[in-house]
Amino acid sequence: MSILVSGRVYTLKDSLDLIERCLHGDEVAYAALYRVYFYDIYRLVYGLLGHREDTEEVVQDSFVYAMRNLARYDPERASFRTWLFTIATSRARNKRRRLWLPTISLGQLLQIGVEPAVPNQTARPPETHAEDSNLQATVRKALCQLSPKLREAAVLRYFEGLTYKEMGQILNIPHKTAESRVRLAHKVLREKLEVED
Amino acid sequence: MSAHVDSLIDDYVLGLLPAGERRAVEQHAAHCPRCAKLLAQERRQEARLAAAIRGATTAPAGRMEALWPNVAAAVLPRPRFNWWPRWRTALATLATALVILVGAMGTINRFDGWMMATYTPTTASGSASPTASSTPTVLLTQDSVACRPAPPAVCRTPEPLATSYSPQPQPNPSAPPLAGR
Repeated sequence: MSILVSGRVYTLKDSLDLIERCLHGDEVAYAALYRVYFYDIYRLVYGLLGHREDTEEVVQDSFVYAMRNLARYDPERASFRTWLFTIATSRARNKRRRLWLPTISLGQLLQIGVEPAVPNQTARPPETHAEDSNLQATVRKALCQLSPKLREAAVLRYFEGLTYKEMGQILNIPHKTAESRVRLAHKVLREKLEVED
Repeated sequence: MSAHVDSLIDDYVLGLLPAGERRAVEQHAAHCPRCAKLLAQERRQEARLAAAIRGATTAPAGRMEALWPNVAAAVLPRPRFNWWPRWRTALATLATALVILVGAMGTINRFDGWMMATYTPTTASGSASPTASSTPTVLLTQDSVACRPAPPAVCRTPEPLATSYSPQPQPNPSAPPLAGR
C-alpha cells in the first residue's frame, strides 16, 4: 500500500520514520500514517462489525488512541500494523459487546436453570449496498452469521501478509488456536456460500 | 505414486501446513492430475472468497478524507500563537500593576486631604447643661476616631548629656590617712 501525501509517496515500510516524525509533532506525518493504514483498519473493523456507522466510529477511535499512544509502541514486539490491528480489534469487540447488551432481556437472565438465549450475534442486520456484487452480498451475510471469534479469524485471514503468529498476537490467543479458528471459519464460510450458490 | 492428498488440500491453501508436508502436497500434485485439479479448484475458491471479503469490506470513496478532520482535531498538537511572546505578556502585566499602584496611591492621598479638610470637633449638645462641665466635650464618632489625624507629637527637648564624666572621688584605702582629722 502506497499513499501520496504532500508530494511524497509513503508505504508501510515508512511507518517507523513516520512514527518518529509524529512524536516530534509533525502534522504531515500524522496525516500520512492515517492515510497509509486507513483502508486496512476500515476493512478489518467493517468485517468484524458489518455496519458502516459503527465501523467509522471505531476506526476514528482506534486512530485517535493509537496516535495519542505512539510513544508506547514497541517495534521489537510487533509490526505497527499488528499493533494497530490489535487496537482496532479490541475496540470493535467493545463496540459489539455494547450492541449486544440490550438484546438480552432481564427475564431471560433471571430464569434459574435456564440458559439465556444466545443473543443475535449482530444487533444490527447486515447492510446491503447497491454497488455490491451478488457474491459480496452473500459473503457479507455469511460473515455476519459467523460467531464473533470465527469472524475475527476469517477477516484477519484475508489480510495479505498476516501470519498466524500475528493473528495470535492481535487476537491474544496462541497461534495454534488462530489456525484452528481459521480452519473452522473457512469450512463454515464455504458451506454457507455453497448453499447460497 | 503416493496416496492422494485430499485431506491436506484445505490446510495447504490456508497456509496451515508445515514446510515438509507442503512440499509433499506440491510434489504429489505435480504427478497426480486428480489432486492437481482439486488443488487448483480450491485455490480459485479461496481467491474468490478473499476477493469477495475484501470487496465487501472496502471503505466507500471519500470516507477517509471525511473522517480525518475528527481524528486530527483529537490528535494533532494545538497551534501555538507566537505573535504575543512572553516578554510582552510580562511587560503588560508590569504596566498594569504600575497603573493600579499609582491609582491607588492617588486615591489614598485624596482621601487623606478630604479627611483633613472636613475634620472639625463637634460640641455635644442636648439635655446636659452647658454648665455641667467647664470644658467643651468633643464628641468623636467611631469614624472620626479611626480617621482622625494623629495629634502633633510633643517634642521635648532632651536634656543635654554630660559631656565629661566626673565621678565622685572615692577614698583610697592605700592612701595614708589625712593628718589632723
